Parts: sequence; C-alpha cells; structure tokens
Amino acid sequence: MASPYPKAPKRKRPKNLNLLTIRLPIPALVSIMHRVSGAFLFMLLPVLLWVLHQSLANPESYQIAQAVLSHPIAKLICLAVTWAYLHHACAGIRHLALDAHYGLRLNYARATSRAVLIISGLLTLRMGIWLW
Amino acid sequence: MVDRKKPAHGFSDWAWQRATAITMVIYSVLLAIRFVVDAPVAGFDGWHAWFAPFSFRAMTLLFLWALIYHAWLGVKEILMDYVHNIGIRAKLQSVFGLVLLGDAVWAVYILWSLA
Repeated sequence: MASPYPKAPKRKRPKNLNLLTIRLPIPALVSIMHRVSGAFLFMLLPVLLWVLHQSLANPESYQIAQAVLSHPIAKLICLAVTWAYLHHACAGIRHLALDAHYGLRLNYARATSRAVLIISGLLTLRMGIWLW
Repeated sequence: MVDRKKPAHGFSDWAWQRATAITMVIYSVLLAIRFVVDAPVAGFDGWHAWFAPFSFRAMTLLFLWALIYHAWLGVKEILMDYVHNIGIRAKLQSVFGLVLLGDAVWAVYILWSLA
C-alpha cells in the first residue's frame, strides 16, 4: 500500500560519530570526566586502603608504605587520584546546585563547568607542590 | 530486581547518592582543616597517634562507608548505561558488589585493629 504521506526528500545529513573529532561542549566534558573519575577512584580504592592499612599496622609496614609512596610513579598515581577526587567533588557540588535549579541557564552552565575544571586543577596543583 | 511494591526505589538511590556525597564533602573539609591546625608528627608513632581518637576513627569509617556506598550506586549506574545484556550485567554487578563489600569490612579492620 502506498503511503498517504508525501515522500520526505532524501537528504544527506552530516553524521559524525568519530569520538576523536567530536568537540564536546564544556558541560559535557565535565560530565564525562565526572563519570571517568568516579570509575577510576572505584578501581583504585583497594590500593588506597592497602596503603592506609600498611601505614597504620606497625612500624615495619609503615616503612613499606613510605617506600612505596616515595617512588615517582606512586607519586604520579597519587596526583591522579587527587585530581580525580577533586574533580569528582567539584563537579558533584555543581550537580547539587543544578538539582536545586541553580545555574541552569546555558551561560551559567558553561561558566560553572569552567570553574569546576579550574578550581579542581588549582587544588591538584597545590597538592602536587605539597607532594614533591 | 526492581520491587514494584516499593515505588521509592529509584528515588532512594538518588537521595542516598547525594546524602553520601555531602557526608564526604564535610569529612574532606574537616580532614583538610585538621591537617593544617593539628598536623600529624612525622613517623609511624605520630601517624598512629593521629588515628587514636575514637571520634576521628568513627568519622573516618563513616566517610569510607559513605564512599563505598556512593561507589556502589555509581557502579550500578555505569553498568546500566553500558552493559545491556542482563545476565552479564548481573554478574558484573555481583562481582563489583562483593569487591565493595570486602572494602567495607577491610575499612573496619584497618581502623579498629590499631594496637
């Protein structure tokens, strides 16, 4: 049976699903980073608990924890964890504000996303200086 | 499995995610303040003594539990978004759930086995 509706003109719409060339709007960037940082922290949690355990159990294990943490790669991981935690926290606080209907307008949403990136970046920098 | 007799299911996840988040923010700020005004003495003895007060260990455990439950809610949400095969998702969810349960018990052991 023929469709009673006029045929929609076939148009070639631009389609781009290449993740490497998609430019995310900044609120979307903060959003996906919130998710990635959360998953990263979940995966690192057993490692962090292990370090806390070693540091508190006895003087010998404290030495082990200290030796592990003084390794440059360990420090880099510490910095990554710090960044993930701070980004996740800042983006989370922004999320709570959005829940309360603060900052919903596009220009505010962009500005607060930028603030999340800058504030968590600066706090991580501060921690980096303290670590090294 | 969603219990249809409990209409608050989704809301309670939403609310707990936020309640645990606020708990963690408060703890993080208090921890940072304590690090500045009452820094631990360098070395094992100083670090160990820093964890001695009951109130600090209780708050730290509350923080870790809040973090672990928050992680559980987040893990479930991520799996729901990306793993569409119910069977595989259920398996992954139980594996990650057991890991987090282990983390929660471990946290108690770490904080309450201090000699």
